[in-house]
Amino acid sequence: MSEYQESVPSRSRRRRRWFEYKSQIPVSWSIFLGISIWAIFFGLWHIANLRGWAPAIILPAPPEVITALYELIVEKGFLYDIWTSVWRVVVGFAAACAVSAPLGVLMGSFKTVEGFFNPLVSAWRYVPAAALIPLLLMWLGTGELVKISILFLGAVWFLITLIMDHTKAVRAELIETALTLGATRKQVLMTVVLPAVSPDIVTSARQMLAASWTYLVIAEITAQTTGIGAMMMRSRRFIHVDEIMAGILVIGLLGLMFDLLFRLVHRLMFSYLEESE
Amino acid sequence: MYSQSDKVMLTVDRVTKEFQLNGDASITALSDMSFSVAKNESCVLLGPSGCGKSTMLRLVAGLEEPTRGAIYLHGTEIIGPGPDRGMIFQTYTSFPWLNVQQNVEYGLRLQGMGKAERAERAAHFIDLVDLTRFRHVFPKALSGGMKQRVAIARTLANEPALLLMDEPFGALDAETRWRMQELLLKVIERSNTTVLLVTHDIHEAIFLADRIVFMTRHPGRVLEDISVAFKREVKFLQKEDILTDPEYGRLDRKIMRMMRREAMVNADD
Ligand SMILES: Nc1ncnc2c1ncn2[C@@H]1O[C@H](COP(=O)(O)OP(=O)(O)OP(=O)(O)O)[C@@H](O)[C@H]1O
Ligand SMILES: [Mg+2]
Repeated sequence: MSEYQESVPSRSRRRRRWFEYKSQIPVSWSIFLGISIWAIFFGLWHIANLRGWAPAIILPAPPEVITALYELIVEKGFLYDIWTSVWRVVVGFAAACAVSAPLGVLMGSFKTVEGFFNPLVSAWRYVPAAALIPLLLMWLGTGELVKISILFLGAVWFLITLIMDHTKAVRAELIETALTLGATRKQVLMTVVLPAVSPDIVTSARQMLAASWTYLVIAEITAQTTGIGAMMMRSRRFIHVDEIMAGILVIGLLGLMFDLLFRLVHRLMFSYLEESE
Repeated sequence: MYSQSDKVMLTVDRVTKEFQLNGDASITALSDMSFSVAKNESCVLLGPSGCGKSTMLRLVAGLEEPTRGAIYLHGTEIIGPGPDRGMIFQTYTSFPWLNVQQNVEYGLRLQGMGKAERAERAAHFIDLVDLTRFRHVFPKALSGGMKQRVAIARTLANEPALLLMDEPFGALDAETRWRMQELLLKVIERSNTTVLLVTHDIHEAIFLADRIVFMTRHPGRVLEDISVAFKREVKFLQKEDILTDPEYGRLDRKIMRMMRREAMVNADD
């Protein structure tokens, strides 16, 4: 009995290789790899600073940026700027989702709805939201509405198209099965199309959110008043490069946080899906 | 016209189906096809690939419209899909966001049936397809055969007048397939259902059918209406029992020759 067990080859004999097509890696590896890339990034930056590859005034060292961030938060009310920016992104992006989810699903389900809206949506998708800033500044002044509008216009057209395409990809057999089980067209929409497409809607939103941050910063830089972008433009006037970099750092961290949040929501809401990622 | 006796459930009357392709071109999938299915009968549509079997089934389900001719269920013309004709596809159609029990309850829920009654009815049909242990499992954790059993239970829970199946076991391995065929026979027996099933597997056809409607190659028509009469005296519930019956071999050879002949016509043009 025990002899037999000894003759079973141990699993460790199959060596783990660094480069294996499409195979999962242990969590410890992911963490190690993720930290490594950042260590190299900050390391190179620090070395560049120490060696004086660029004047210290336009390339401060990483610790100086951290110090600047600390001072910004403690002494200059930066948390308020961060809060303002986050609030704008959330409101503008939520509005974009609220419009694009129903519209995209209806356009993907019914050719008539697509035929009506798509000419408009396709055209607007090619207009960069930044190109509308001069117009919006004239119409809406420099208040909150202009920033939220730019954010909204930057995201909404792409979201509609993405959600429409995902809706079209819902398997016809699922819809036809529901029809032969007695579903009305409205019931098919609510009990088949919507549940089938909602994981993809959440994924599309996660991908578009990154683009939304771009439009937010553009809006804040142009209509300089409050927010992370406005703080960065103020710092530019006094050549406070460390503060500008602290702003970039915060935007990156916030982006990462929102991304993780979306992934978590996706995993919790759609746990019934086949693990594919 | 076919006789409108009480026994006739489905009547397909001179149905032609043409598909419009790009431009003026069109494909005739079915040409002037007529047959009927009696109540409690298991009728199998058999024929070479591309002869229009799936198209015929989709017409009966109401998912497509005939170009000419009409189809009647209990004498009423079919004009769209409905719960009286449940359809089971070759591909898996369990809703991934619902567990087994919720999947089976789906049609009942649409009708607005109360929770307790729904659960009771679902439990009966889940038991019928031997999935009771798995009723709280989501489809991602089910095998192909189990997913098809969910589809069968879900369709039967609706108590359709006619059960339509398009190569339901086509994607399964050989062993799972004959087990599913036996299970289907048991289920048909117990639930008194009328079945119209499409397959291109001759053995599946003989094992499951009371009657085989053999179709010509593209464009499809009825070539021969074959009665599987030898099964009337003996009920074969296990597949190996039917294999030794001399009538089985005779029918198998006959249908295989028909298949070959249809394929030869194919090679000529
Ligand atoms: N939506 C469609 N548009 C155009 N042509 C179609 C369409 N559906 C079916 N056809 C054509 O109709 C004919 C019959 O197709 P069908 O799928 O009914 O055959 P089948 O007997 O089910 O074949 P198989 O055994 O391979 O499943 C084929 O020539 C096919 O090309
Ligand atoms: Mg087919």
